[in-house]
Amino acid sequence: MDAHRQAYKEEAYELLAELETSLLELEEAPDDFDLINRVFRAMHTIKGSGAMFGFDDIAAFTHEVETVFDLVRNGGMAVTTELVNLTLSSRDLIKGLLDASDGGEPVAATDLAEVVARLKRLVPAPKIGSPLPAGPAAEPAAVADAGKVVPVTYRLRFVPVPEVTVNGTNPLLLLGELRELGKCRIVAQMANVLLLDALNPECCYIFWDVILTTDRGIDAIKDVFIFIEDDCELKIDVIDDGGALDTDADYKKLGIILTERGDLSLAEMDEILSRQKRFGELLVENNVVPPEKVESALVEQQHVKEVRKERQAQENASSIRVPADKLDLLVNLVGELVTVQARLSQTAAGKADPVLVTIAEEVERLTNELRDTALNIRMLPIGTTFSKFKRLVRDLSAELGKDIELTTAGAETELDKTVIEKLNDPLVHLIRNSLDHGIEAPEARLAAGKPRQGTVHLAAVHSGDSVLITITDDGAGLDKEAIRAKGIERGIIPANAELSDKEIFGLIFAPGFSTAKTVTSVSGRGVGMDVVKKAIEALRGTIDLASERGKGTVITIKLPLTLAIIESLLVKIGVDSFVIPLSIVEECVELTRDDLKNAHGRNLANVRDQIVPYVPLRERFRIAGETPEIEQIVITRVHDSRIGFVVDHVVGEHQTVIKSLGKMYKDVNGLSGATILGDGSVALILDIPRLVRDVELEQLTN
Amino acid sequence: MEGLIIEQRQGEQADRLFLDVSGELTICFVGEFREALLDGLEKATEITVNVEHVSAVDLTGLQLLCSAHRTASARDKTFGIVGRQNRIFAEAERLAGFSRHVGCVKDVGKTCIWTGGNE
Repeated sequence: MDAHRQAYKEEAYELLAELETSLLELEEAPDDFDLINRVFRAMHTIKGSGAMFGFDDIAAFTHEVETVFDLVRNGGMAVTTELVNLTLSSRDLIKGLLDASDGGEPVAATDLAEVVARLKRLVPAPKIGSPLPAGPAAEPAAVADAGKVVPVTYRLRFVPVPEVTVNGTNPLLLLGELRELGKCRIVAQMANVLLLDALNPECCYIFWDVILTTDRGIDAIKDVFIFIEDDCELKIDVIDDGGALDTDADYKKLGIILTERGDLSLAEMDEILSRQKRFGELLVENNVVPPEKVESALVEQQHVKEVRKERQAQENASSIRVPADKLDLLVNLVGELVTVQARLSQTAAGKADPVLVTIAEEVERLTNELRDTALNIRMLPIGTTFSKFKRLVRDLSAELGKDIELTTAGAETELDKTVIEKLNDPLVHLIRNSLDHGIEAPEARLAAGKPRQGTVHLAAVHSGDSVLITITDDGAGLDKEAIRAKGIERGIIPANAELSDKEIFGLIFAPGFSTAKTVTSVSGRGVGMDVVKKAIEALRGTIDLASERGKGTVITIKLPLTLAIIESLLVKIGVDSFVIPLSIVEECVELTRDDLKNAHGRNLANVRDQIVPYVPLRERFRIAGETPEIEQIVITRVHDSRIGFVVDHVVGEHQTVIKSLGKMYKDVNGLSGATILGDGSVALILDIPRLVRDVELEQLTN
Repeated sequence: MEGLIIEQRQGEQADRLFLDVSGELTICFVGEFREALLDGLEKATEITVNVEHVSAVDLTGLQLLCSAHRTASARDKTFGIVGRQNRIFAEAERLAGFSRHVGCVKDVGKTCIWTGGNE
């Protein structure tokens, strides 16, 4: 039972997310019947399965909300902002109840009662003499629990009066319209066509049997015939409801069962079967049913069979639910395998045994495929996070008295599940900042000649092995002078420092920096940006900011696709190995003793007439021993500037399975993890952005 | 409007008649076509309508051909169509749901003009 309860909870959380998205969309399009249905279905399912798995409080509360939405669905009540607000609060309460069942904070019964009371107040009193409009005679199309409209198969018999053609209607056009609704088979019934002598050639003696599979609903079908309603008889039956009530009636035929049991041989069965005629043939032979009617029925049989087969194929191709920790375990195992495989390849190369080398190569190919597949399984579209922010923006803009719209793009962009989870908080911070500090109050916007409504645009896009997430607002932009002054005041920069725009904007990521004059509940406590930056860097990502006074601000976050395995560059200093993420490496150049002499003690290299500062890692990590005659500078790009790192040797590219360093080393700066090399030794992963920042800070304070 | 042109052509055997139809086989001209068919059925025992050069056909045109086939069957005569591959004709036949595997109850000689080419 516990497993079922857990499954229910998982489903319920998903439904709540769906409910929230639907409600927000509904607010924009209050007349959208499909959306109203989606909201209703989500609540209906939460209620129904809630009661089944013992979540009686959830079932009871959801029932009240659902009742109100049933009224909306039947046209008894309009969708208003108030209703959406209350339903959103209800959604939060249901979530609270779910959380509470996991040991979360219990939800106060008074809160529940209040929402119910307010919802009830919204319900209009029934007008005397005008009964509530009944719901549509039939569902427009079956709506599955997920809120998705599924195609339904209808059988139509369309019998026009003979004069229909004389009156100017072209039945072929109507049939053409039907074909546009979905998969359609049309059989003309010609039984009533008269002989030439009696025939009025301008009249229509034909009627039609149509089998139509459509997701547009019965009303769409009726609409086709709307202009000749009086000129025809129309009968519409549902012959396949899209699987909502599938109780697969097709079981094996008797003959098959008997042959499977060995009670009947195939030859015997065939012999017996050949004695009997097909049912249709018998009907026709005995003049019970005319052949064209049998044919029409056969067409129907064939059509529904095909529709069911297609649907089954789709269902088979659908997904299964797997707990996330099983996936994590899989990825971990694949990581181990990659490490072992590297060892195998290395060993094989050393032994010079062609058989072993072939096997090692094969294992390498398979491991790579397995790695890609395993990592791919964990990829999720970032859209789920995006939809959460719609609610955030809606609620916050109301709180701040601003009119702000959140637009999104690239919701389908996929990122590793763990990255998406860890991205949530930084994004919330950044969006809050944009809403609070970025976008001006409506009056100020109008005065500045901008539209009253401010826009925050959240976009995600793939770029090589990274994903770029941008948050763009059309607000006031950053005040460079204010930031500079604050930086000096806080002692982050010296009073006479000459800083580029980029450097000035970079200051807001410094710890304890806030230019907000007032502290609101939304932001302005000065704990935001440095925390955000740390979180992004913990994801091996970078954050950049560009702003134009009066025009707005663009924040760009660059993230690696996955956290588990990265392509990197393996380097050596003495006997120690280090890896640098390949995504930020630009090039490697030599550093000779002569170069060092010419630089007169400054850590600057001349690369094709450009000065590149570098960090001698041997010195920084205090590794003893002699440097080789010719060292290597690995030049990286961090926050748009080129910085070199001096190492003894560059070994080459390396598949790095990232291992965390553990709690003991959590305060070690400049290292973000470790990896195991093919020979079993450990290489440390350099946290390049962190190293750069530390060096920069040291220089500023010196 | 280009109208409907019906050309009668005697076959090699005297009782065989070809009707080459071109132009619009639509409600405006079906009356005319009906007369031509009745006339043909009087004259010959085997009638073939060629629809290869039909430029438009509607339900009444298709229905008339069906009626002609029935009439011929009732009179123990043979009726057939050629030129059904004409794109316009084939499309109208498909749209109207005329194509089928077996003929109707009146198709005793199994000569239904709409069989073959069901979807």
